[in-house]
Amino acid sequence: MKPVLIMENISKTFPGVRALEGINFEIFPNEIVGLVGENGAGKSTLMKILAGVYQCDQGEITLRDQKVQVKNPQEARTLGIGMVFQEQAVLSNMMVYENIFLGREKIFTYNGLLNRRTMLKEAKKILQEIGIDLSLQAYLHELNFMERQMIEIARNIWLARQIQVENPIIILDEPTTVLEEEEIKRLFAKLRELKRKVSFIYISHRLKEIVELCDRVYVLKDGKNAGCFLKNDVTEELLRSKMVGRELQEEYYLVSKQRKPTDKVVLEIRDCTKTGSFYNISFKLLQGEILSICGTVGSGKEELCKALYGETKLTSGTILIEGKPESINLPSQAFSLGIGYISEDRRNEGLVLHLPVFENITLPIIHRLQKGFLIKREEQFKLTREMMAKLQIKAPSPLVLCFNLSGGNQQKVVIAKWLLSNVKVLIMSHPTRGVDVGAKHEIYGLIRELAENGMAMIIMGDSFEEDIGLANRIIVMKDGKISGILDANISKPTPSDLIQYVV
Amino acid sequence: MEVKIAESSNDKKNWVSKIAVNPSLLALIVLIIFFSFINPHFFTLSNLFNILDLASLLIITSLSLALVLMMGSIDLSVEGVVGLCGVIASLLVKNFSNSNNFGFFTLAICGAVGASFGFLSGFILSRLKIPSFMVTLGIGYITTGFGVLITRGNPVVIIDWTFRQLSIGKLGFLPFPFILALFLFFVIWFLNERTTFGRYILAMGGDEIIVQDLGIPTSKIKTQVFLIGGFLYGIVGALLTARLGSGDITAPLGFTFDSIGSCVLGGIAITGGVGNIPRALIGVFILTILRNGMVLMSVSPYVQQGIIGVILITTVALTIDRKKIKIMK
Repeated sequence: MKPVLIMENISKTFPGVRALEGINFEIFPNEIVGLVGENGAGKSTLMKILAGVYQCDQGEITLRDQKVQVKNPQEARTLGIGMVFQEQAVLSNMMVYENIFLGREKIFTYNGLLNRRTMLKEAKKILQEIGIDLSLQAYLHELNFMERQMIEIARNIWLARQIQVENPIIILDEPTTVLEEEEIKRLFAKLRELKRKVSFIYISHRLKEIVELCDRVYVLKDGKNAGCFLKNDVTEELLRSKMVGRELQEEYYLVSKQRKPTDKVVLEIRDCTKTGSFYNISFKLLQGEILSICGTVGSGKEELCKALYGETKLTSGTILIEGKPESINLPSQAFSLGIGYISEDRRNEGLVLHLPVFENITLPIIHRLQKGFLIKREEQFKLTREMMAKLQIKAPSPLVLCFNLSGGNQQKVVIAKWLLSNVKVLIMSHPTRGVDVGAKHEIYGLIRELAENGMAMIIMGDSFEEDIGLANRIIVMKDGKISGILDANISKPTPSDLIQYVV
Repeated sequence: MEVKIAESSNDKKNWVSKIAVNPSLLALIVLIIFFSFINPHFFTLSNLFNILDLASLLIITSLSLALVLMMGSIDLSVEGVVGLCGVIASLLVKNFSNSNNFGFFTLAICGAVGASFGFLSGFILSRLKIPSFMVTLGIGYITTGFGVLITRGNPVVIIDWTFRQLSIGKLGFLPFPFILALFLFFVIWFLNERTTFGRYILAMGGDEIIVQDLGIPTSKIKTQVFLIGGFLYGIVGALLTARLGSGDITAPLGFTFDSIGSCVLGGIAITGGVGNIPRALIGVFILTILRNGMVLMSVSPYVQQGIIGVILITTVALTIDRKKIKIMK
């Protein structure tokens, strides 16, 4: 049997990052191909190249024996390559049959008028064929996640038939993250059934599902092929061992400056649950401790941190701050209790980009700098200058707009802001994302210094190495529960130790 | 595998439950019953035709706003374009200021002028990527200024009686402008429900990025929607002049917000993606009947405005989808 799709020697470089390096990837008709790898291993970049979102710098794509260049997502669609991403591309304010044919209504128009009857008939036919029981005139917001997924799959299959493409390729990106056990079973049954007509690329962090479902599995690591395994050979352990395996450079993370935390508990959470995100989470955070929370996207770690600083509410559970139970419903409450948050999206959430450095740094404490109705500008400048010197923020003056600073310096401004406001606990989501290597190192230095001064920190790092390198303790979350707690005070665990809890 | 698929989700619902789930229609019916009990003059044939007559011009402008709002945009140029076209109409038919006599051909010219300003709005906002709020506000100022400029601010009195029949004439019992409004209502309704163009408008209001990614020409659709809107304003301008007997740039004062208000009262979401054309019609009648009823009850005009304001805010508070908007500015 000949492959439907061959991707040969694919490379892609983004400014500063080699995302893909000589990747080879093949898909045969009627199979489900799994694609696994750590966050940042290059899975989504590869798929986006296939779907026309990015162009590869090097390499060839051969589709059904023809060399193709996929220039944009529309073209991908006409080549029979469909995507079903987690952020679903369906319109919840429109009906089922309208969503299936969206953008392709031309064949249903006669003299400029839509023929609703043929649309309904055709929609009924395709839904019957893939065997889903839905009301054609239901609005999409009335449907559940899996039903909406099915609409997207139906759309792709119908389109492939329309343009007379045999065996279209449909990419499923983390399709089970928000599904319940029962729904996952139904989805898998459906996918196995649809395999007769379609080839699926199945991307997931859940290795158990990959092993169960896929006929073949590709593993990517650091933008390179790390192996391809057939269904009979593949096990979860095998995949895990192929996904990680880098050596940790300890000094890069200034491990020698790591201090043992004091015994004082700053923050404690007991039995915290947020339905749909995480369940029965308990842990203690000590003064001067750096605690990493690891896990895949969708493991509940983001939601947990959001709950801690009041962006979302807990369903149940208690949060104790220095031994006192407190309720945190709003970010402002979290702040007044001494919890600060550094968002990964610092351009939108961390900084007011069009305000100067000094206003950003003094924003949380501006009420303390007031005299009557006026703000003491002298004081603002003084504090800003101190902070700029202390954190080595490279800006010509406190009056420069944050917009003009580099990513690393912007991040330092955010940290300075929280330093000034004397928070006790700092939650950092991907503190080094989008920051160049040198500035990364400086930020690690800052984090160490903060810990030394008694700040407790919760960090969600960009990679396992970062988590392991920085942390005193690592909590691993999986499917909303704590799957492991690793101590990193005396000796550091390896990424392979970690990964068995992660996936 | 044999699966049965229902073609319609509301097969079983009868018309009673349909009204019950449409709060706007319910409100309209309650209003009619309320005013009928309060005032014996309300539910009479002559007042009914009076209401139809009062509503007719607002129906036409609201049709345009319905399309624009469903798309997720807004149009603030209604007063300006209607005013300018009204002034132009007065200068084209027989009048006291010049010797023109274009007769009914004026209607077409006004439509064309309105359409070209609509096209301009749509083109600017979709190509230069400026929010519709700002573009149409600007176009509103430009057209108003233009209207003042060509008449020096004085109303132009018209003496073309056949042209005036357009607005004050009747076909049987029905006021002529209402017939025209009803005709346009059916055309726009059909356009919205039964053409790809119409469905894309709603789809864009839902999520424009998704629609764009499917290769649908969203910029073109936006321009077309505003063009149609402009055309409708042009027609309304001519009708307004025919009704008042003079072309006056200040005559359509309040049209913009009445049109937006009608759509919102009828249940078209101001955030886009939700609604249909009949809702605009319902909204127009709610607003018109509310005004008419309060006049019959001799409520002071200032209090009337206040009551309408309260009702508007309440409606939005009840209907707006807050999940879609994180922070209201």
